[in-house]
Amino acid sequence: MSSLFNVFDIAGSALSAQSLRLNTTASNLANADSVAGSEEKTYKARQPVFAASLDMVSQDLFGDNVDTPGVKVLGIVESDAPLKMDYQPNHPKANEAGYIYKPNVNLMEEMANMISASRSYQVNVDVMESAKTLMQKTLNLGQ
Amino acid sequence: MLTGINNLFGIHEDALEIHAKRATLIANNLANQDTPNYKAQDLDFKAALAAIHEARSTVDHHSDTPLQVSHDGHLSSLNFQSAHDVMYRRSTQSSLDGNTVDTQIEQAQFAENSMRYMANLSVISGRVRGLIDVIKG
Repeated sequence: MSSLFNVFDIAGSALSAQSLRLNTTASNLANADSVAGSEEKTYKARQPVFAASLDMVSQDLFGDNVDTPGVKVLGIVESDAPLKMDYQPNHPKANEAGYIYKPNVNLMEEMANMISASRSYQVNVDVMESAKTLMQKTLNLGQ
Repeated sequence: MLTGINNLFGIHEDALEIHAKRATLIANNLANQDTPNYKAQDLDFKAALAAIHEARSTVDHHSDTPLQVSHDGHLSSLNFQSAHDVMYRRSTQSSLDGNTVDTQIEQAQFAENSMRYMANLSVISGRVRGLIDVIKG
């Protein structure tokens, strides 16, 4: 039964990773229209980088050391897609040449990311729920 | 009827352990469904059951860290590699990021595995209840 405890660690790591992904999506969508006067100051779309986690070592039921798996977020990268430039000389943020810079947030991609993240989150909640039921049944053995 | 209390649960005890192990593997697949280049893993149940059963019947008394017991028959430790039973799942649809997790397949496998765990559990539970009945009379 003790290896069922690992399920909580694994699904927990996924919940945390997916909620972070949802956070970056929310941030990207919120800043989709934040214009700026220079390329450096413009908001750039942010995406988390996921990797399979292998650094947590524990003992499994078979008695040997195993890597307690899961998912971890390596970091958040900014998109290097080109920014959108608009010629709006009357805009208060416009630079000397009369251009404003718009973020490189792709709304379609962000919506797809949002749906994918929330579905993945739900799946992992279901996994946790099942593991919880199994453990409760095991604890009530013989009753 | 009861030849030994340590053999009360028989093969169901081993099967339960493998089901629990398999649950963690599939949970890991589901956790990594969005991880680039992650390959879905699963267990060969038959091979794992045979291995654990064999290990139980021919317990290695000369393992690296044996349990200190007053009699050879007490609490014999199981020490064998289980990693060779873990294999990669063949992907049904290739994806651009090299991930081979199919959420639907994994969810179905997880549900099936949970049901089998419950089935084993109900057998074990029945034996415990039977034993309690015998003790209480």
